[in-house]
Amino acid sequence: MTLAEKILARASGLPAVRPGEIVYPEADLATIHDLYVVEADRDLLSLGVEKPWDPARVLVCFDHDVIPQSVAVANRARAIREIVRRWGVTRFFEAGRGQGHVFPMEIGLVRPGMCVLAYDPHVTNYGALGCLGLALAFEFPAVLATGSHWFRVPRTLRIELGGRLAPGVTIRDAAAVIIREVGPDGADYRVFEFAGPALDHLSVDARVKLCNLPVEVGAKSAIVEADGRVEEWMRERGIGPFEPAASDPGAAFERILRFDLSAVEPVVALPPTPDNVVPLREALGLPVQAAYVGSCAADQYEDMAEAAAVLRGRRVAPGVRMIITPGSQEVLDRCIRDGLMAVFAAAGALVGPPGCGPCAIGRGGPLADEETCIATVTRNDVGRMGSRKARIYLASGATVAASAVTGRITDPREFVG
Amino acid sequence: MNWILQGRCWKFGDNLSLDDDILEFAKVFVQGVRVSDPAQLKRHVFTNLIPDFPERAKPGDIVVAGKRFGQGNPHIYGLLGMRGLGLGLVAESVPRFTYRMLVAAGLPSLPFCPEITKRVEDGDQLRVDFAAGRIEDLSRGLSVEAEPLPAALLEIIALGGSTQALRKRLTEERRPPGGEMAPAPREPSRA
Repeated sequence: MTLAEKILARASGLPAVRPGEIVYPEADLATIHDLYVVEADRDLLSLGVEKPWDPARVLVCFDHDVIPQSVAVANRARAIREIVRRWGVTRFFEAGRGQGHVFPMEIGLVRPGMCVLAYDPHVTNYGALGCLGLALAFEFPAVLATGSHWFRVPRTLRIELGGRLAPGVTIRDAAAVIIREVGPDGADYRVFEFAGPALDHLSVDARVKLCNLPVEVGAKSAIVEADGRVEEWMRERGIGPFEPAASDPGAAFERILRFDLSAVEPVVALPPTPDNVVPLREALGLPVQAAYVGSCAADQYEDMAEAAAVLRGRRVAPGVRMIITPGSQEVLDRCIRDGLMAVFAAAGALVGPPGCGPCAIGRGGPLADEETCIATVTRNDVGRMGSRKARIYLASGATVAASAVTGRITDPREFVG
Repeated sequence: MNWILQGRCWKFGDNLSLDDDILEFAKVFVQGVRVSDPAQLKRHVFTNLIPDFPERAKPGDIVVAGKRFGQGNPHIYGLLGMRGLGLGLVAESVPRFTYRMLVAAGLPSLPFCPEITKRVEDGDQLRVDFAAGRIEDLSRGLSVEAEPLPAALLEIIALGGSTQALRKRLTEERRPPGGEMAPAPREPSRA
């Protein structure tokens, strides 16, 4: 079996599963964020359910409306805290703790081989640790009520990575090229499994980028085997237990794609879909008024460092506002200790609280009509960061920072590399 | 459940997005909380494409869409709004997550009907049998077949969607071994 199939079989109490089969995996962890708690509770109460099936396995985080911008939102936040108390959930993380697809990995709540069922689709980030994250959105109350829900076992698409990224090119660029090449028809309801010799030099932060993007073209999940780098990452943080997790030899993949990282160049996704990926040179020079580094697609330490390498000793251009949101208190803390915060401050960038940042429909920094923004966010749909009349170009943290410095879309290799 | 709908064809192109074309996501929120009541959501369906769509659409009307209907972030609200208007859906294709949400929303659907946008025109009178997978264009006198949803998923739609199906599942699980019914769950209290 593939790694995803092994996890689904174990969580469903079955010796084996096959693609196409309907299974009911039980969640090792069930995650939900502040934008959905009140609604989920309303649905559960209508069904006579006052508490989740196993409160100890539910994680509630506050990452979307981190700083309430109205009394209505503050009142909703109060209601959420009351609901969490009634539910008896101990893994409740207050606003500012971090982005829910980042900090749970850092503190050992997500581990290799786990099956996590989530409200939010970007739970696929956990695949970086060899954990299978599956989203249910509107159907999530079924998980809260019973611990499980139906899934059709997805087929696995294996992507073998070789080569090394050239200087100034980032793993975000590679991930964007991969989702463009696989495309919506190739990705629909597949698990992307990343493998190959390049994993030896791809950090957990880099693997999160690989696992974040496929869901934008319809992938069911994404995963990387839990190897020695994952073990080391967990050991550095004092979290565990680590157990290796990988596909069986001879596992049946739908197909295997080989992908050479050394051939990747910086790219940008043009509005209005994340797979509308073109070489960066096609958008060079376009004026921007806003630049943003953050969201669960790019808010770990390496993303911060990537932006800081460009911003060091430079200033954000007049007429541009730049927002940066570290993904968690751990990331923020390391940015302070390593001097990155000083770089951001000297550059004139605005650092927001850990959380989803403006990727959550513009929260904490919406775009105005007719503005153009370059951002690391997950999606560039109409209205994703505020005004429906704004345009969002998706790129790496390095490209976003370079563009912030010049005020137009710029190749980061002009500054680094 | 009556699986046959008859009404006007509302034809759209490819790649209709959940969060903007079908129903603008910002309109889902009232006082910071998402509305999931189809009767409230129906007022916003397709209004970014056809501003008076909710007034003009009648129960039984059929939305005919091209490829990748419902692409984007998996937000169900537009599909709930379509159900609120009493519409049915025939699409050339939908992303798999949207397929799941059509069922969860309780929306009668034929989600994989290749080339349907080339066969029927906006404004035609259609009669669609969602259980049998048959689309009749009464204006043109033609008939098209499509694979209906599997029976297990039609059953969820007949119940009214995933919340109602969960209600049934919980009721059945609560039934004690003796066969005596557990107390019925409380009636929905829609906020």
